[in-house]
Amino acid sequence: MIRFSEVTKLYPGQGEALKSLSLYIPPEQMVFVTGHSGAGKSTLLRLIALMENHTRGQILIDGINIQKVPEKHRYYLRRQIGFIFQDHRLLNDRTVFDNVALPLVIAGYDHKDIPRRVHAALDKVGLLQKEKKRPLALSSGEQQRVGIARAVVNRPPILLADEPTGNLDPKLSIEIMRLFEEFNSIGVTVVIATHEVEMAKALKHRIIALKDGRQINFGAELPNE
Amino acid sequence: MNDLKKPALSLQQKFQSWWQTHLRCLMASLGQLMQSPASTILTVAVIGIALALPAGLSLALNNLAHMTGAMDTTNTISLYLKKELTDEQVSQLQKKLETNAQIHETVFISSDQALKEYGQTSGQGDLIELLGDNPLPAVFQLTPDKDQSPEQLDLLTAQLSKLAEVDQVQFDRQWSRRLHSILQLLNKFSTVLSILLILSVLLIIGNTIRVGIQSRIQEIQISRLFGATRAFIRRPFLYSGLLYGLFGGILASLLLLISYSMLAEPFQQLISNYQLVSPSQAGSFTKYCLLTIFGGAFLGVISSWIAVSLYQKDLENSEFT
Repeated sequence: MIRFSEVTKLYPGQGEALKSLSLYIPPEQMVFVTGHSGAGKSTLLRLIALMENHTRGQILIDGINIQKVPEKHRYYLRRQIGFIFQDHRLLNDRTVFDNVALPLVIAGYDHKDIPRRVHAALDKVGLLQKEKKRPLALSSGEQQRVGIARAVVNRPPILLADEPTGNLDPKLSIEIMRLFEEFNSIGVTVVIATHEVEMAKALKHRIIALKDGRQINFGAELPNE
Repeated sequence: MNDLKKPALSLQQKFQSWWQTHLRCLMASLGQLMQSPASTILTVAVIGIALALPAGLSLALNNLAHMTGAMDTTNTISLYLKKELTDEQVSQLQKKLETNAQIHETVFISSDQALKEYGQTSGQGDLIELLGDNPLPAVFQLTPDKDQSPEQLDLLTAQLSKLAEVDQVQFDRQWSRRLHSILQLLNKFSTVLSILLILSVLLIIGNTIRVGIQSRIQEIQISRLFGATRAFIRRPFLYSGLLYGLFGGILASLLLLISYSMLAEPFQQLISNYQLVSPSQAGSFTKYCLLTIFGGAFLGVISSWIAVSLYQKDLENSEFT
C-alpha cells in the first residue's frame, strides 16, 4: 500500500515538482503515472523509492511513515522495492549475472541460493543464455530486461519503473509491459511512469495523470481511500 | 510473490554466508587494485617509503640507545691513590669500596703492577727500567652497579673524589652524555617525523579511497537503492585500504631488509673498532618488520574508514542522482 497525503516536493531554485499531491495505491495494483516532461512522474517514483525526501505532507508505505524512518534504517524499506530506470543503470564492469545478483548479495542471501534465484529471474526475462555477457555487449532492450531481472530478483512487493520503454521500439515496449503484467498477476504492486498515454490506456490499468505536480484525472478510476 | 523475506538460516549458514561475503569482498577489492596496476604500484610505493622512513629511523635509534646503554654499564671509575699510602690504608679503603652498594666490582692495581702492564703494552720496558723510580700510582678500578642512573654515578664520583686516600678520580662520561643528548634529540625528531609520515600515509590512502569512491559512485547509489546498509557500502573500501596498507607495510619491511643487508657489515666493523656492544639486531629487526606490516594494514583500515565515513555522510545528506 502506498499513500500520499498532501505531499509537496520542492527543489531549491527549481520550484515545486509535486504540489500537495494526495493519492492511494492499494496492494497488488498496476498503475501508470502519466504526464508530460516535468509533470512530476519521476519525482513521485523517486519519493516512493526513498531516493529523495519530500518537503511537506506524509508518505506511507505499507503503513510506515517514511519520514520517521532514519536514513540508517531505510535499507530495509528499500529492499521491499524494485526500481527500473529508463537508462538501465547497470554496472558495466560486471556480468549480467553479477548485476542481477546484486540485490541478493546486498540482502545477504546464502551464496548457494543466489545462482538459482538469478537464473530464475534471467529466465523470466529471456536472458538466461547471456548471463556471462557484460551489459555493453547487449542491445538496449536486453539491457532493460537485465534491469527488470535485477529489480525483481529478490521478489519485492513493490515494483517501480521510470519510463521503462522510453528507449525501446513499440514491439519491445509491449513485451516489457507484458512482463510487468505478469509480475502484477502474482501480487506485485507495479507503478510505471510513462509519457506514452496511448499505450497505458490500451493496457487498461489505472492511470494517474499528472500536470505541473498535481493529479488532473480525478474520477471513476480513482479508488476509494 | 508474498515470500518476501529471506529463508531463515541456521547459525552455521549465517557464519558461512558472512565468511563468504567477506572473502568475496576481499577478492573483489584485490581485483579492483589489480585493474589499475600502475596506479596501485605507485600508491603502494609511496606508502612503503613513508612507512620505511620512521620504521628505519626508529630501529636505528633503538639500537643506538641499546649500545650507549651497554657502554654506560661497561664504564669504569679509576681511583688514583696518593703515593704515600701504606698497605694497611689501601686495604681499609678496599674494604670500604667493596661494601659500597653502588659499586659492583673493585679491582686493585698496584703501582708495580701498573708499571709492568704499561711496559708490556707500550713496549718501552727497557726505558722504564732506566727511570729507577716508579712514577705510576696504585689504582682502584671500580665497576659501578648497572642500575645506577647518570645522576647517581655523578654523585658517586663526587663522593669518591672527597676520600682522603684518593688523589684523582677519572670517570670520563662526557662523550657518552653528549651521545645521550644527541639520541634524545634524534628520538624527538624521529617522533615528529613519524607522526608527519603516518599522517601522510593516512592522507595518501584516504585520498586513494576517496578517488575510488568517486569512480564507483553509480555502484554505491544502485546498492543503496536496493537496500545496502552502511556496512555493505563501506566494506569494499575498507578492504582496499587494508590491502594498500598491508602491501605498503610489506614493501617498507623489504626496504628495511635491504638497508639492513647493506649496513650490517660496516656497522659490525664500527662496533668492533670501538669495542661496543652489539645490539640484539635479529629479534629487534623481526619485531620492527612485523610492526611495520601490521601497522600499515591498521593505518590503511583507519584512513579508509575516515574517508568512507566522511563521504557516506555527504552521500546520505544528498539525494540520488
